[in-house]
Amino acid sequence: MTELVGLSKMTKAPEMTGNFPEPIFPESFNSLIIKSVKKVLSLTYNLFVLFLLVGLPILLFYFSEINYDETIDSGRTLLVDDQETWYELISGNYSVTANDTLLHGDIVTFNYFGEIGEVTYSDTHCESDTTDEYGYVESGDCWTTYYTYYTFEFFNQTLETNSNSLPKFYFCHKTLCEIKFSVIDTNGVPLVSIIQANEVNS
Amino acid sequence: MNLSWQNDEALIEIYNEIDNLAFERKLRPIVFIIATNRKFDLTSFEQSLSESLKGSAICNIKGLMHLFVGHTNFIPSQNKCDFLSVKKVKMDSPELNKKDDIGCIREFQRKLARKACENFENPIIVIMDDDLRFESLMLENEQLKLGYPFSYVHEIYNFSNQFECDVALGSVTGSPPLPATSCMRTFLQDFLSAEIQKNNSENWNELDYYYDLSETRNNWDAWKIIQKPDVSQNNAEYFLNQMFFTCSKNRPLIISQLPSNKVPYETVTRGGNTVIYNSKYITEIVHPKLPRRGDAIWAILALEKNAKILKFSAPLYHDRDNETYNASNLKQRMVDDIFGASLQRAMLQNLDDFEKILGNRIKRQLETIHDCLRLINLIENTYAKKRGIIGTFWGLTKKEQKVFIKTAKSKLVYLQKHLINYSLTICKNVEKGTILAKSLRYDLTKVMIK
Repeated sequence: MTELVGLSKMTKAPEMTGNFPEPIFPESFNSLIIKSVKKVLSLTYNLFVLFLLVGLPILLFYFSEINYDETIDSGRTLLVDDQETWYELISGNYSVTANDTLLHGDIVTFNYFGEIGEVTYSDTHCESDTTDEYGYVESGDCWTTYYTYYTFEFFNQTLETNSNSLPKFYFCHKTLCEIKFSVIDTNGVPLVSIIQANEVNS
Repeated sequence: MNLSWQNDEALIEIYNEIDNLAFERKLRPIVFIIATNRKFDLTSFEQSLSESLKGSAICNIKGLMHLFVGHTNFIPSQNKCDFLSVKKVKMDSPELNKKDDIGCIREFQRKLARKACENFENPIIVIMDDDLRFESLMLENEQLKLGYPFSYVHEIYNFSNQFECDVALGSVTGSPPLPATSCMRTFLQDFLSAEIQKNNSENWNELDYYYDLSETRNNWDAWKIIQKPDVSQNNAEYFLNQMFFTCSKNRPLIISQLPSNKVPYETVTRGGNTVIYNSKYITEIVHPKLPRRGDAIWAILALEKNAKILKFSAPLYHDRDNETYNASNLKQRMVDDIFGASLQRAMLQNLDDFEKILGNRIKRQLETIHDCLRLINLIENTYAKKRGIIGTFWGLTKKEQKVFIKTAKSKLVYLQKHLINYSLTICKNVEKGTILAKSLRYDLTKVMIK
């Protein structure tokens, strides 16, 4: 009979645990750089998605508001004479119009004589209150912004214009001028923008 | 070693002598015993047996080879091998419906063995698993090939002529007979290594080269990839199946020398390939109802009853390619294997050490899972400059790499949690195992084997 290997050799194996060396990975890019680039790309992508989901509807809404205004823009070019007769430019000719109410978008030319007044508005914004480490409540600071509008009379109503228009017509204070303006806002006191003003030699 | 024994003159001569003894009716009958609750492929079994015996005169002898099949599923009524008689026995125990309950199946195999002993005179009983076949996996020019370098049936007779023994415990080629949790770190070692230049030719002779939890393994280095998938198969699923089911296809078990050249040694490591020369040991000794490692514990009991148990030098081929991984089965197989292997060790050493052995094994398995998770996290943050070779992680597409990482990570975390929960019940399991071992030994005292 052939000599056999004894069972004892098999059962008294040394207590060893697995000791794998690290697998050798392929040549790789710097993971920190890749991660940073990935983060940037991911952020860009997320922002883009956010823009598509949130920004785009807001922009559409915003522009649609302008479009809305434009749709009610009168498109009228008017001339109001000293007798307060309103003429509208239609096909190159002025025709008398019965609608003598200022509308958004109207471009109006008229002769003005009078004073240019000013009115100051303010807008106050307060920061929220804070509580300090001892529990005392400190009131937030308030900031007030002042801005001046300039007024002039258009027949029986007062018009306002902002400081951007002032250089264009300041010389009309107590001086006869032909003023051309466009109507920007008709809510409350009508807000207009001076397009052109010329002194009239009487 | 030839791919077919029919080309080996020396073997032909030995096998001719055995064939002559068969014609003289001087050989003991062989009864193959298979019990399974899976679908048994009888055609494939017969085909494989016929191929292994091709060219041998033993195929002309009737009444020498028999197959007893215990089954729960359909089996074809006709068999094609004239030399093989097939007896089918329906298994109807409700316990057998539980998938993977190897303990119950082994017990049914004992019943079939008793039937075989009643029907035949002094049979040699071969107890084998349903997924084993008669071919062998071997190396030819650094490539893995399936062949028939020996005839399993002839080797059974040849072995009994050379060595005196009651039981011969055979091994397998192909997939290791272990839960994949015992091989997954080794799989990752090859799979994650970018490129290994050194050939594997010397590695195949090393001990336990596929086994993470081995206590005798010396070499833990990565092996060169020799089993590459086709381009159509080069996906995450192909490799996940190896990691969580079949073990690495790059390191299967192979036969490196003919059975006749091997020197058998004493062993109790029993799997699905068992040759019983003294049938009393299988009919008299109760098989422990353990889902895993119960056969090795049976071998210890047989050894304690003075059985002469040797390593059988002819392996069978173990093929797991017909199934895919199942995470729920795997976690159960993992803890069953840890429990069974620890009890086996404790019964060999000292039953009082069972708790220590079980605790140590759980710890090592947890370390393995943790290390696998660490590697998966590492590859997740590695950005290779170019595509690697097919057969490695680096040869997968980016999309498949992501699938592999995601799936592997979730499966590993799942296994880790299950094992941690299991470790909390260690006292209960030690008590269960100790009572089982003591009761088996008590029953053994009543067994009389001449």
